[in-house]
Amino acid sequence: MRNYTIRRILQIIPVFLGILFILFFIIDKAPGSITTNIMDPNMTPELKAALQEKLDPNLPFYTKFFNWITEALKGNFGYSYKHYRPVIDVIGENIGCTFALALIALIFSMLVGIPCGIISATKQYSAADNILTVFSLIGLALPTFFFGLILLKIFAADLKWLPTFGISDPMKANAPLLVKIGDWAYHLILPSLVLGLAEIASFMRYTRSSMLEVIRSDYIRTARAKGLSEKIVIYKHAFRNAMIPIVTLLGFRIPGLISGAVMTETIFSLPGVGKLSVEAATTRNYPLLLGINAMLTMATLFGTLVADLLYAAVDPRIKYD
Amino acid sequence: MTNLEKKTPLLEVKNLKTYFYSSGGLVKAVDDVSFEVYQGETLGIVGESGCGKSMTCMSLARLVECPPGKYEGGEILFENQDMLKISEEDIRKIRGNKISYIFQEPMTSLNPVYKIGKQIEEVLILHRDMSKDQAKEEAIKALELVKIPNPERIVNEYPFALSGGMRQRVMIAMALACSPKLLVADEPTTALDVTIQAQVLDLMNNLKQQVDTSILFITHDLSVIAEMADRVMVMYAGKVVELANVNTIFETPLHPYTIGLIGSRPDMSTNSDRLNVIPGNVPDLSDLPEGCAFSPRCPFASDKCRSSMPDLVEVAPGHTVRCFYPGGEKHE
Repeated sequence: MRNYTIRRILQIIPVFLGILFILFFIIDKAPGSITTNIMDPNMTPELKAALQEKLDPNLPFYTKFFNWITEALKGNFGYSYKHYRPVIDVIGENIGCTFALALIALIFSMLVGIPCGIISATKQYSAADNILTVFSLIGLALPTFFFGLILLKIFAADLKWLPTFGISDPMKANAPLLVKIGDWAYHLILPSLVLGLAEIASFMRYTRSSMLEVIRSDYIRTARAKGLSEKIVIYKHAFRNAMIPIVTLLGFRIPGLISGAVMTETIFSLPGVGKLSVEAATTRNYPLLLGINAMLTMATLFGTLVADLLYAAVDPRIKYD
Repeated sequence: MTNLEKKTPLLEVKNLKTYFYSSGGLVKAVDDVSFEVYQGETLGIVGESGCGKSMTCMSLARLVECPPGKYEGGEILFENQDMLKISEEDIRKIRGNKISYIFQEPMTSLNPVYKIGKQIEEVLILHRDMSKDQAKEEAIKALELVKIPNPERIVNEYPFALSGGMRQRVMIAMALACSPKLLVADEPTTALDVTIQAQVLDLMNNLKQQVDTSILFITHDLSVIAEMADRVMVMYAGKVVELANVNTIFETPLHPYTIGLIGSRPDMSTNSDRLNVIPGNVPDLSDLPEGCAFSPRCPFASDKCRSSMPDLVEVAPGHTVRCFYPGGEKHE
């Protein structure tokens, strides 16, 4: 298991470099450059050329990539000319919000989706199953922006129970830490609900089908024949087995959650990397865009690594050495 | 076995009806089945696939999934209790404790994510109120009993590390852990190699004496029945068609179906090129022919057979047959 873990971590390196190469290639070939956005139309052509030469020199692609990656590996992802600060600082300021949002949405969707899936499977074709199925299909089909706006209208604008935008109340900037955490949580309720909705539905559907397969298996019949209560049969014997494919799913949900966060952060005006990357793309802030994508690549690779290791932990049949 | 009749039966099944309500219609998987199992005997149930033998056995501890199944009538008397009437909690105390099961597929009958030891311990902790350590010791003893080498090591193994034969031994150890009164073995050797099959059968016969349990043995393999059973019950299309002592069944079978079954075994002495077969197929249980369900395949069937179902009649002491023409006597 230890050898496997080490090998698996080493495998990440070439994959990471490969993805960075592709990312750099796409962004480098994209039209426009950082200079088009910050240049004053009244500048003389000589000045423009000088600025272009300074900010985005006309070097061969491979040289540019090599320069960028050697700096990136040292932790320097370049400079965001929009923010007048290094890219890494801008990302560091925004990534916490996105991770908090994604994590809360993930936990929330698991806590709701998995039990609903179990109920749906154990009571297949019952009224409860049908209702849950209808709701999960609605959840999957409903666009985030639409659902988000409806929730905003009801809970924030009309009922005024929850805030409409932002991550924190500026009035509480100097409050003690616990109050601040409470305030963040309060601001994240609606966004994580919106982001988690589609996830609940997919967790539920996966759990349902996985459970349905398991509860028909011979070892569940054995468990019943032993005299175990239905609760232990379902939640211990069946669920442990049904969990195996869901754990794999978990790793692949992380990039989905982060890309989902783009939309959610925009709707709720949250200072996260999702919103930031949209801004970076529209203002041709390519160093920032590259940095964000490199960060998300890392998160995704980490997610799949965790999923692979968890997979071995839940299924004894998988031997990695 | 001759004085069996004088004893009170351990298990008495009376007119059991287990039906299935499926989209294809009503399936009478177990239709008016009655039999007894006495203390210390092995009752064999034979029949083709889909004749209701497994469902009969699953009904005993109410293991048939309801729905789609439903117990439509009859009684299952075990230790003065009707298994069809007692509460869900009471029946759970009997399952795995007084009535245990061994199933056909050893490869899939053990939970793949739990260690062998844990799966055996679970029954002991549940029914015998043992502590974890006691249960572990008992589990090792149970594995020793079924002649598994290195039981101390095997308790810490997962099922995937064992072969089919070994897994079936684990299943037997698990079933016998609480010294059940009745062991229901649903085709326990069908999925095994012939040599392993012989070992497992041998083991079951030895354990039967050691643990003093009765066995209900389901199979479609007549040579296995000959080796294991004291009495044999033949089922066809959800009904009992013949019930007799094992020797009687093999020497003087009376129901045409039993005769066909015994006749279709390969016979070394006659050296014929072809096997005798019973013509036709097992009828669809949701669409049974009128009259005797076997009549379309029966060489002796008359119009009477095709219009009414014969009753189960005792033709000799301890030998009952459901046929108008037992022994295939010719009719006009």
